[in-house]
Amino acid sequence: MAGIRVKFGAAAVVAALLLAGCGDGNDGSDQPGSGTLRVATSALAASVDPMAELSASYLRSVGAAEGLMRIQPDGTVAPELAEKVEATAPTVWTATLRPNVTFWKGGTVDAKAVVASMERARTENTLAAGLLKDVTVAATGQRTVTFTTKEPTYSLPYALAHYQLVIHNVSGYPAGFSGTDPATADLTGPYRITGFESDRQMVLERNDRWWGGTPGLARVEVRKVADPQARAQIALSGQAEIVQDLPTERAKELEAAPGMSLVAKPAANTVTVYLNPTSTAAPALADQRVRQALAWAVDRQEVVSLATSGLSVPAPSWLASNPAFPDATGQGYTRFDKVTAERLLDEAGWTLGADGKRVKDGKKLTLRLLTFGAEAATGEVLQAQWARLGIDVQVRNVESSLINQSIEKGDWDAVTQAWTTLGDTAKLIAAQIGPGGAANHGKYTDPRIEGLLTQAAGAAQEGERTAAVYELNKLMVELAPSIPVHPRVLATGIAKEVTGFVAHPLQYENIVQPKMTLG
Amino acid sequence: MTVRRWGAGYGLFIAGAVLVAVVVLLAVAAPLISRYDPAAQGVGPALAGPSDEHWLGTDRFGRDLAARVFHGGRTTLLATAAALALVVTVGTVVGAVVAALGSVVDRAARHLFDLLVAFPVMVVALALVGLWGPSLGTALAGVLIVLWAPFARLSRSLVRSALAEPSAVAARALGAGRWRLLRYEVWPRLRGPVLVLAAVEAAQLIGVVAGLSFLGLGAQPPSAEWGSMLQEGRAALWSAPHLVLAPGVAVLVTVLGLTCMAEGLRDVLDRAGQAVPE
Repeated sequence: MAGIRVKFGAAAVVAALLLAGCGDGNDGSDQPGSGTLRVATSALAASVDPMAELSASYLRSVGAAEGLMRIQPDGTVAPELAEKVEATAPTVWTATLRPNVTFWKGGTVDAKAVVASMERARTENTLAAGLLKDVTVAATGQRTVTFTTKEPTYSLPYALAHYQLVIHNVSGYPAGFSGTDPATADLTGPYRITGFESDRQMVLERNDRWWGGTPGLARVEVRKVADPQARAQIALSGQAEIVQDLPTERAKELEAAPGMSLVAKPAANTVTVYLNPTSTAAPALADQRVRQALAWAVDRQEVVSLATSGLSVPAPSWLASNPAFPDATGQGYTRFDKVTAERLLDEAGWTLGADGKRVKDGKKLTLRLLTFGAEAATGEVLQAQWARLGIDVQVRNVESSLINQSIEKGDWDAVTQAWTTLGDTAKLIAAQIGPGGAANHGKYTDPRIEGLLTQAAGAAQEGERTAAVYELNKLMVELAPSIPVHPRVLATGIAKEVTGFVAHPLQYENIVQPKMTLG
Repeated sequence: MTVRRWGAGYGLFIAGAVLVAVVVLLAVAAPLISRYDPAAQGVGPALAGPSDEHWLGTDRFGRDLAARVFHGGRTTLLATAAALALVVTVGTVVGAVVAALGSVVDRAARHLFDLLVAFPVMVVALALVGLWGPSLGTALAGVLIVLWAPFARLSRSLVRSALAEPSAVAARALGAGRWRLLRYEVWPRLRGPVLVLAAVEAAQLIGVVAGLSFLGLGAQPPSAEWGSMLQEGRAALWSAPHLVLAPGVAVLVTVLGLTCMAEGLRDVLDRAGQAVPE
């Protein structure tokens, strides 16, 4: 039996080596750990250093980085490099590492290495620093790491699953490291980087030291193709086995294509229209009734049908795209209600003129809506729906940097953004409506918010925390700082010969997965 | 003047004029011949092909493509016509005044005209859009900054040569006033070449307006405009080619018509012995 295994292994290695050298063609086989998977993505890592900007999530998305924890497709969190993570005291979480986990180059992933990785993340990356704020990390054993927080923090496992806290070998990244030399990168994961061109292409090979067994592929070639139409052509022509972020307007064509499947998954990012209550150009937005009217007047089913070719689903509340909070789909604007919208506008003094436009004190109800990327289509459908209510909306599709600039200057009425809803939910909601929240663009306040946020983050019972999260979600509907529309769509083209792909609501978990094979 | 004397240029001019007239007619009559509001979504199934109900099919939002092409013509042609009227008037007047003033002003103006003519229209329009944000008005403002200069240069040159003609010199010696000189000596030599240049620039302007809208920097949603329609249709080029064909043919026919008009007119004037712009 052992002899057979050795022969099989040798044959597989020889086959993999032969296949890997066969150039661009799809040289897949049904043996595990063989075949070259070609991937076309809309974006790629800027650096092989996960602590560099715009790198960690992309490295993770291609199987080249792992964290202590991982978010599952159902929204729950599960151990990854950690064997388990448990609360050992109200303010202490203890992570026990898996045995025999090594970095690509063979160094052991022990408690000291994890602490060093966390501390480098805290120093080098502002996002990581935010995740580890008020958290002390210490090695308390060969395989034991403790995380001590100031206050009881029940969401720490979600923070440990964040892509920015992937574990890397600090000694592999000396000061002055260029960030683009794959030879010096040292992480964990089923695939290790062997070729790298910043923001252009990446070559990965199977990591035989991976703790999870033999990865399903010998080689992965990832290429950035910025134009969505070009990606669609690549998918249709079979030039790549996985094509990420396909344009939804070509859904029918892609669904009908032989040799591939279009896998569409609503992402855990709600496409939301943020409203500025202090806008001088659209002072009507200061009135909560007007904001609510805009939300009620959105026919989400029509938006989904026209703007995403039916690949998404309506999001009646902001949290509705988070699979861990299924009841959120029953909260908020669960129906299209033009009558309520009209009543609210009438109450707010915006009456319908003879020309079909809403007017108050001689001024028309108008607003400017800035959209970005694929959300342009959503913006156009909203423009038409709000026009039926008598509101003039000027839509402009611009770069995301221009949206950020407009928000910083305060010169904006409404913008679309799609912040993630999956992770440390209390913190994510705090970012939406908490004081100083990164997505609280309109600086909304309410006396109920702070208490509910405290309860959502720190209540002893899980049920109490969940109830507070739902209450906050309801409060967002009432205050209407923003209008949830639909989850962003993750439309991925998967070649028929690819097996083991599991659609995930997080973009960075939705490309190369360890158990994927070419059959 | 007979058709025979005008030669092939006349036929070309007439052919071009007919094409342009058809396009203009469809655009002007758009509200009468369109069955649907060009901005109304969901009037038909998304991405449907041509049918009795929707002559040119529908786009991804279920909007009637025929209505959008006809109304899009209004946007494109009106914007082009307005911009052209302004640059022709401003350019011709400035060129004539500079030529009449002569000396230092003339030399300085000549350099300014040369400088402006060297600027690509598209680049200036893009710069303005970058400063003020995308809109058809901004894009046209960029066009206006540059496009009056070729008319000014042509006008200056023609006015100078017209005033140097023996008949003009004699008229001036006999005491003819400035207006009389302009009316009888300058204008007859100016109008033909300016018309040719206007037709050439109109074709270019259509391309610039459609090009900027194609890039998302001109007309904004839900305005129907040929360039933005081409951009929207590009996504479904293979599965729904009618989205690109309809506005594409509209642009092609209009530009072809204007170019034929310009070439025909140039030929006619050339045969008549008038100076014509290259």
